[in-house]
Amino acid sequence: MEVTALGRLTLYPAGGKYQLVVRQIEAVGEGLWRLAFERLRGLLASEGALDPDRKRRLPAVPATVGVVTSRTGAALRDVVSVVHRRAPWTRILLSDCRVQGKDAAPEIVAALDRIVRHGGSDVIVLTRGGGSVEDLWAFNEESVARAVLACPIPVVSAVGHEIDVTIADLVADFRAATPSAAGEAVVPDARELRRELEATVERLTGSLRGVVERGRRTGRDRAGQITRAMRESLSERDRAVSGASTRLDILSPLATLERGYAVPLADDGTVLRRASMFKPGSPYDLRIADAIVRSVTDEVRGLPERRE
Amino acid sequence: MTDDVRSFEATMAELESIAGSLEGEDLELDEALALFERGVRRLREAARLLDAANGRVEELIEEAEGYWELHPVRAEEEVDGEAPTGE
Repeated sequence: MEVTALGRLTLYPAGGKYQLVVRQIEAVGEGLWRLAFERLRGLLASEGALDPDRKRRLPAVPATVGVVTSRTGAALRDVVSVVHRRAPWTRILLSDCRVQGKDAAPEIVAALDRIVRHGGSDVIVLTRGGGSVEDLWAFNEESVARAVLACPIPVVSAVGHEIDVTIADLVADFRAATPSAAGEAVVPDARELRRELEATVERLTGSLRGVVERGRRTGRDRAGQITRAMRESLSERDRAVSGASTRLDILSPLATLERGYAVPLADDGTVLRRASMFKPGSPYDLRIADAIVRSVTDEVRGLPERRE
Repeated sequence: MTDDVRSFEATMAELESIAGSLEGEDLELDEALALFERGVRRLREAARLLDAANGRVEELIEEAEGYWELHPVRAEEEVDGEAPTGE
């Protein structure tokens, strides 16, 4: 490494000796920083703190994301905008701290500790925007590394730009290259979840169809008819998952059956809703929660106070 | 909402297992319908989460040890337009 020394140089001619009395010494470039970084990294590595096995999995869909950063920093804005673009339901809890200067390390440790003691966060993002080696230094302090290692909640770090790697990045459960990348790492994209749900709707419908087909082959034909009628009314609707909620409402009568209601069905699967649909002496199926009761209409009486 | 989110993964896992049972097991029709119906309920819960857009940004402030205050962070307060200054 290279240093700049400022002082007083004396030559002793008798012995041919030089003496340098240094008043000030400074590292040139990043020499000293690099040295301190490597020393701490070596120490942590020797303790096994950097083992990939130590890394915890991040929750797939966190309800609350704790963010340890400066209230006024661009990093917070980036994390918030990416998280809410992808997963707009996510709650974000900011734990404010300075992210540079001599007080930054203890403030970062305290801010992490607040999130942990508050207990409401599922994952933590420790972040700040880009800066010089000196600006980012707090994230290379041993106290910050220890706090991240001891944190019971998974920590994602995103310090500086892509090329900056800090000790905090090394000990975190996941290192994101930038604050925006941290936002992407902590929450799923709603569009992907929607596609997943859509696929599940298709799969469930398809598998029910399979059950019906099998039932048919084994002679449970009438039951098959009823299910088919239900399934057909299902698939008429649009295929989007937002539409799925409405589409699935059609099935809620099934829950109603559990409460003791029954649905009379004609042999072709039509629901018999009106008195006019029942002919005395004609058979129909009464669908109850756990069976189909083959029935015959005896007599049809109108209700005295029937209101539409 | 928090509970909805927490249950999202569990819901997806349950749907997976329901679909698996419907596909693999030789079920009575009523059993199949009951399973399907449960799946439908779960799907509806999960879809409700995806339609929600109410995530807030709050600052966690400790008033006294263990006493928390949550201050809403408004968009214009989130950033001063500069890189973090710290000092």
